[in-house]
Amino acid sequence: MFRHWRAFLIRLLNVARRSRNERELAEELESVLQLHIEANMRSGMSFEEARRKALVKFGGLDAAKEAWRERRRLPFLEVMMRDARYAFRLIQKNPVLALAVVFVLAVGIGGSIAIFSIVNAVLLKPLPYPEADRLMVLWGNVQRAAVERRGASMPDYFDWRDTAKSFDGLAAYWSGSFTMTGIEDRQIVNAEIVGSKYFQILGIKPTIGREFTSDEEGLPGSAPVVILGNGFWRDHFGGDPGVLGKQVELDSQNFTIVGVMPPGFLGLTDQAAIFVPPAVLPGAKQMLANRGSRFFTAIGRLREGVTKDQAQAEMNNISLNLANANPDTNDKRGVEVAPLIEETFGSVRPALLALLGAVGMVLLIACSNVANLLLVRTDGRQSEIAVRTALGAGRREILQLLLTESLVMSIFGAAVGLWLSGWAVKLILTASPIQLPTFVSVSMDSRVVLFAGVVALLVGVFIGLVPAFHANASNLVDTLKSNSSKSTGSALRRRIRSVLVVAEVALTVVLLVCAGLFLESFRKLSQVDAGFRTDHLLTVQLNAAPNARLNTEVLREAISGISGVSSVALASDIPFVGSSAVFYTAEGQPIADATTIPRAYVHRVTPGYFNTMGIALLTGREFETTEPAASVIVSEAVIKRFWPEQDAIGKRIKLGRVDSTTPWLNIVGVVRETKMRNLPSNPTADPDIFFPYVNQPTAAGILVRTSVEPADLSLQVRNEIKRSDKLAVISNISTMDALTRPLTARSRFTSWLTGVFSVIALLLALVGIYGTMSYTVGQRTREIGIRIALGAKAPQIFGMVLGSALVLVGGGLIAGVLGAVAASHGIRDLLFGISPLEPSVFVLVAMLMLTTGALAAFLPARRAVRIDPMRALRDE
Amino acid sequence: MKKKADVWQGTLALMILKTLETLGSLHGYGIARRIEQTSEHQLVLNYGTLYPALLKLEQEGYIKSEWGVSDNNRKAKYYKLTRAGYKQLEREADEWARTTGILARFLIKES
Repeated sequence: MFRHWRAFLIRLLNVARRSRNERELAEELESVLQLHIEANMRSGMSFEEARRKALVKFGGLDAAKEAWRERRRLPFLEVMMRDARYAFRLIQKNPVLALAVVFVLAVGIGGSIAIFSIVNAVLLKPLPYPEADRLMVLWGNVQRAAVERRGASMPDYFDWRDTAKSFDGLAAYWSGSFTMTGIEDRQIVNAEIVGSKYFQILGIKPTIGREFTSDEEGLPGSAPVVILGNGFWRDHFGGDPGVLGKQVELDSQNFTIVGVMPPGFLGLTDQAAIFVPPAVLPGAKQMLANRGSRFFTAIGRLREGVTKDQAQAEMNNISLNLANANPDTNDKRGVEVAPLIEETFGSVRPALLALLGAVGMVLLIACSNVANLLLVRTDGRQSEIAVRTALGAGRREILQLLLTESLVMSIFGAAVGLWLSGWAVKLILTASPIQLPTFVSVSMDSRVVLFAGVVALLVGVFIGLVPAFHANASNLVDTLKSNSSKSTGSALRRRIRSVLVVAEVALTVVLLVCAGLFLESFRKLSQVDAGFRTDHLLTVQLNAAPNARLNTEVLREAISGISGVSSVALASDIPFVGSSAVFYTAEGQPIADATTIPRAYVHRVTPGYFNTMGIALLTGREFETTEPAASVIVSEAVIKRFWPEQDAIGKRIKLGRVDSTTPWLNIVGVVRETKMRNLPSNPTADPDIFFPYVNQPTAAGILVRTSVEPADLSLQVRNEIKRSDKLAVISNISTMDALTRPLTARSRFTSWLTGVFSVIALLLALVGIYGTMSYTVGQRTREIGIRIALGAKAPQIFGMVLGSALVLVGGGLIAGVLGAVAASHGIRDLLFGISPLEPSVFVLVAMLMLTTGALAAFLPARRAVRIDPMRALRDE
Repeated sequence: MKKKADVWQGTLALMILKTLETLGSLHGYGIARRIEQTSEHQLVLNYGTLYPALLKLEQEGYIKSEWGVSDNNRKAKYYKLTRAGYKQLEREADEWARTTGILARFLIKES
């Protein structure tokens, strides 16, 4: 192999050092010839005879030299360089055309590279863990109306961990937060609570210190320990390598530092600054023993050679055994084994692939356009090509010439596109509403450059083959004879151009339909009624100081004093941030099993909550300042299920199952269903129930309804909170609109990007149609002149040109609609509230395309009308 | 087409290497004559074939060339093996022996 490269390199160098050894070769061959002649003469031949024989032996002296030369250098490369030099000269002669070509290609290729580099970073690179394809997330689930993902409880998890043989290890993990105390400026620290094998399973070791022990995972009352993330270590300990054994005060409790993680590692939740094991938490004893309290997922690493399906089968068995052993808590409970990569990127993958498809179509349209432009030039070069052919250039040489030219342009286009794509990626990522994991870095690696190279090559071949095909098909003799490009092969040329335009229109239609469907989905999605008013609502997440409580009434009063605030309420949770579900029992309900047992999401709320949130009260009343603890407000689904058509007020429910001993609660009000857990719909169809605050809370969400822009009040709200509770810590202030935005992010992302792509496509199609119609009119000048001379009226001529344009557009439209039907089927999972065949979108796109076609044909048609028959006939 | 030429090129290269090993430094005419003699004139070697093959071997670093003077006082270019050339010859000869050996066994069994 190495020897081949050595030879290749020498030949390559010889290309640069042309014709130096030519004389030496002549000398050498001459000497051999003489040696040969002398030998022949020694065997008794005459000089002439000897010389003749010797020359025969050479098989022609020049042929021998030629064979030697070919071996000496790289003839293929030399021809290519010659063609390339020629291409450069042509570009210099017609820089506008070349600029147009390079620009169009740069847009098409640049867009493709940009999207590809995002796809590359997100979908093609593995997760930043060794052998990440063996990492599985284990979800506890429950069979209700549908199978629902819930979570695991500690006892369940311990049983999984101890019995499952499919995994090299399992580790619980969930996100939590601590207030960092014992310092001047208290702050909230994001944390992950993780099982002891967590780091080992992920394959990421602490850079200093140790991992957690199994006691720290499972033995309640273990001494509090913490592993620091790298950022936290640097921010709070200045990167001190002797940090092990030092203390961090979290929630007023001292945690001993036992390890520090490497930089960039933020845990599976992608936001953890510190890591803490479960058993050191306050209340660990109950948590570790309560099988029904399910709230986390586990990560597992499949044992070498075990498939996901085998693991799933084993977990099914384990779940069944657990259900038999603990019917109360584990009936209908299962486990779902899901690949980590799916959990991480499963939701963005279809959107990114759709965008890659869209940008690929833009590229194809750009190529058709460029091929069309280049056809014009090939037309002008018919004579040149004919002369080359006459001088002995074969099809291969002509093809190589044309391909080299188109490659020069496509490589230029790709180079500019590569440069543009850097900007495009930055623009897309900063404007993107989709939050990519922090470990994803979109960069120009070798794969992106390779992609650019391959695209440049394919594009070059494509845009070169169209004119080459055309040049090949033309008739040499005719071309030479007429010496005019106008009369020959124009029918074929028109046909090629027509096919290109039809293809452009078809692709544009596909893109427009997809963009239309995405936009319509996004519109529908943003109009989803959440059941409460998301505008003009400021939300604050507040934690009381450790061992202290918030005073809800004092806080409400303080904040309502701010001008611009119309009402204030506190609640145990803020919409979309998280609340928990409980089982409840309605008085006199029919017997239920695990799949139908009533379940609801619970919230504690202050008076004024429903008013502040804008949730409609259907019957009854809001909570009052002195509300009996036995009062409850429910959402209407509770009433619809158990007391349809009855007066709900005064009906009773209680928490827990039928046999629970919790007190009965009186329904004092019924509110509309809301979508407080997710948009466009709640993950499960459970109702919500609301209780008054009985004790003051340690943490709460504050909801502030404002009459002015809510973000403008955040500083004043913060100050008022500080004034009324000095030690409370605000972990987050955000408007409700900002909280809902991520829920529509994917839809927004796909719709605006495909929107941009389809506008580009439409513009390219416009140019393409315009170019083709101008060309056609130019070609038919004489014919149109005759028609006018014979009495054709302006509207007829105008209509004729417009008509032929619309025939092309119509053809493209039909092909495009067929393509769009297939494409919209492919993206139907990304749509919301709209059929992939939504007729209004298709009709709109068709109208838009026809209008564009008419617009593009307008100028050429006007030019046709203005043809002066005398001039037209004379010119020919 | 290409396949056949490659085989021919390969065997020609081997013959050249072997010739140079046997006779030491030699000019193009000598190489051609020696190959023809050894093949008992069953091979007719034309310079249009020989010279590119020599050049290829030189580019690959198996042989090197220098100008010298022939027995009858004529200036000629002499080729001789490099160290890599000796190794290559050994490798190629083994390879060739093995291939022909296998093929021979086949042909015997078939008949």
